[in-house]
Amino acid sequence: MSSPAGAGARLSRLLALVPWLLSRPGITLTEAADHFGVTTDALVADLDLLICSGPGQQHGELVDIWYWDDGTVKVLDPQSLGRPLRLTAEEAAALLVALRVLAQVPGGHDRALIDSVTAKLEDAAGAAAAGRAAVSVTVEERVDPAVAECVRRALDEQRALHIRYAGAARDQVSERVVDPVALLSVDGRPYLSAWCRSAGASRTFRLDRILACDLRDEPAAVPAEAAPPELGRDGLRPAGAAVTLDLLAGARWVAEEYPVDQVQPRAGGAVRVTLPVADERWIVRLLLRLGADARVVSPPQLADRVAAAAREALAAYPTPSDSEV
Amino acid sequence: MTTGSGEPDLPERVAAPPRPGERTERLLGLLFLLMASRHPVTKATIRQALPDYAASPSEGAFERMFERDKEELRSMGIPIQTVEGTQGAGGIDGYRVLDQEYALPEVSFTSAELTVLGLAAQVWEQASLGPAARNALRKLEAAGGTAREDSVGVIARLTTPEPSFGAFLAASQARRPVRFDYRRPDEAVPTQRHLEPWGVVSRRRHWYVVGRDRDRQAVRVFRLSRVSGKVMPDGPEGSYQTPDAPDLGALVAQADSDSQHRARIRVRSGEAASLRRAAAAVRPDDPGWDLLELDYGDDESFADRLVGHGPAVQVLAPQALQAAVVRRLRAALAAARGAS
Repeated sequence: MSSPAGAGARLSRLLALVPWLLSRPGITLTEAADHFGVTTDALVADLDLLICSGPGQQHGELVDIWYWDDGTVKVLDPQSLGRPLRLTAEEAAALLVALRVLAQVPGGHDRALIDSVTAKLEDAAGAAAAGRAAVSVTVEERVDPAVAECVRRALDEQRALHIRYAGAARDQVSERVVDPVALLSVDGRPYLSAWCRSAGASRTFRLDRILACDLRDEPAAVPAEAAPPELGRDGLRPAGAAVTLDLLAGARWVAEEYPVDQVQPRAGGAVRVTLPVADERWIVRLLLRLGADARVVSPPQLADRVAAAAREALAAYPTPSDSEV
Repeated sequence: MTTGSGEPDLPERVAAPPRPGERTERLLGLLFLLMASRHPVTKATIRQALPDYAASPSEGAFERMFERDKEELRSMGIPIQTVEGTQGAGGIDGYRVLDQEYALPEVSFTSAELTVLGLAAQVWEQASLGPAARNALRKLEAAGGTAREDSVGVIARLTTPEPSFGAFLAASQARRPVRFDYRRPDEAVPTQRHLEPWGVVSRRRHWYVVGRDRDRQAVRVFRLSRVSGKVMPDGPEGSYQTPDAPDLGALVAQADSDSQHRARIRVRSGEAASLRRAAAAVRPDDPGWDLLELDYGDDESFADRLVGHGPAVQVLAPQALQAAVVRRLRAALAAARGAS
């Protein structure tokens, strides 16, 4: 259950390095170092170690590699390291699960190609391929196939798109013209990364929230200053004003569900969290839901907004006694 | 110019302080030794053959160093066989690595296929399986060809912010029981749980571990973000069976409620787009309002979803759902008054 570090990680690299160099005679030291993500000095140190190793210490019993400091590398005798080491269960799982995730991203990319890679990889991994059974990624967001097809064509043909989008922050539908950049899938959820002409900024749109999509008869025009798609959870976090809340035990899930910057334990099992909020309407909705389990610390006027929304909503219902509200 | 065909330079190790790389050198030497012979190699032979082992001050020190190294090689996936009682010398164990078990079978990928593999390796780029994916890619590229880094218009990422991910995955693959502290959202303090893990599941941007709970004697699902502290081994590897092809995703999904009730709610025009999409029926009501019918499972969790819409949503039926929403609104109002 330990991660490879230090000596083990270096040995892994050495075992992969020999067969890789063997099939690329004359490759430069710089190219090899780049590929393995190490400095040229570290690569030379690896080669220095390899040429002192072998099943014996006599001539002909050592790994033999020719290399120059500013030149090329050639493996003359790999000894028993000519083939790469088999994949481990973890390595096989990493690639096989990732291939399945790629195949599940909506859009028209070449699934037959992904299938052929998967089949070859399963054969090569042998028994290690079973390790994949221990990882499952559920892709369950329902995406309208017409929307997926429209977005795919827009990307293929590099055309602008008109979309109706149900934004999460306001839970309202808006109409936008966007210039598509890429389809993303983050933790099983599909997104369109695009330049939004209405906002004049790069935006990430959840595919399952695109209600309608039309191709426009004009080429996509992503401005040069548009930020590249940001990946990973942090890339999808909202930018906005900081809101600080005290969460009681019943509301601690908020710290798990949303990106929060700080979590400080408070008395009685509560936590104080600070989170970025792009739209006030979103945080008012969250606070209505949390009820007694959350207190606004700052900004104070946020509590007034919540109180006003609650009062207005309660007006629609019969009240057992007015004094209670 | 440097070449490996020169005089082998064996440093004097006995008095020399450990230097970086020395252990790698020893591990590599051990691997060559175990691969070189058709016959299993005994510990005595191994001790004589490698300078570090030969220089160890006692039999016990050598044994400990050798066991650690052997485990390190095995953890990298090197298949070290233990052969009992070799050389007919009554119970002396020997070790070997067979070439056909060591080597990746012959496989070659087209340039387009390697690009797909490159994209697959990037999926874990910021996650705990990142190094494993990169190692795998380098092995597969050894046969020739290199993954091109051009975009094919689709990018996927999996993130694993929970530090326990790797431990649960490794334990599941090795079928090794674990124990860990777990805090449910409604509990103030964590309790220790004992699990035979079957695998990890990503669902709705959370990771879960599924397995047989040894205390409850039943299948249980745990959210990784609620695990506190380290995941500890709680038994030997291979000490339980996992069901044949369990549908881990389905087991996690079972926690979600089904649709058994129908609600009638009024929604202000243009608001609550997510409820409209989920509605079984939508029709116009008074001017500025629509009437929605929605199927749901549990009053309390559906009320959680509705109450956030504030004055834009009014619950008409059923009564229990309306009461749950009103209760939440009153609590929110009281909390907001207390804060301001």
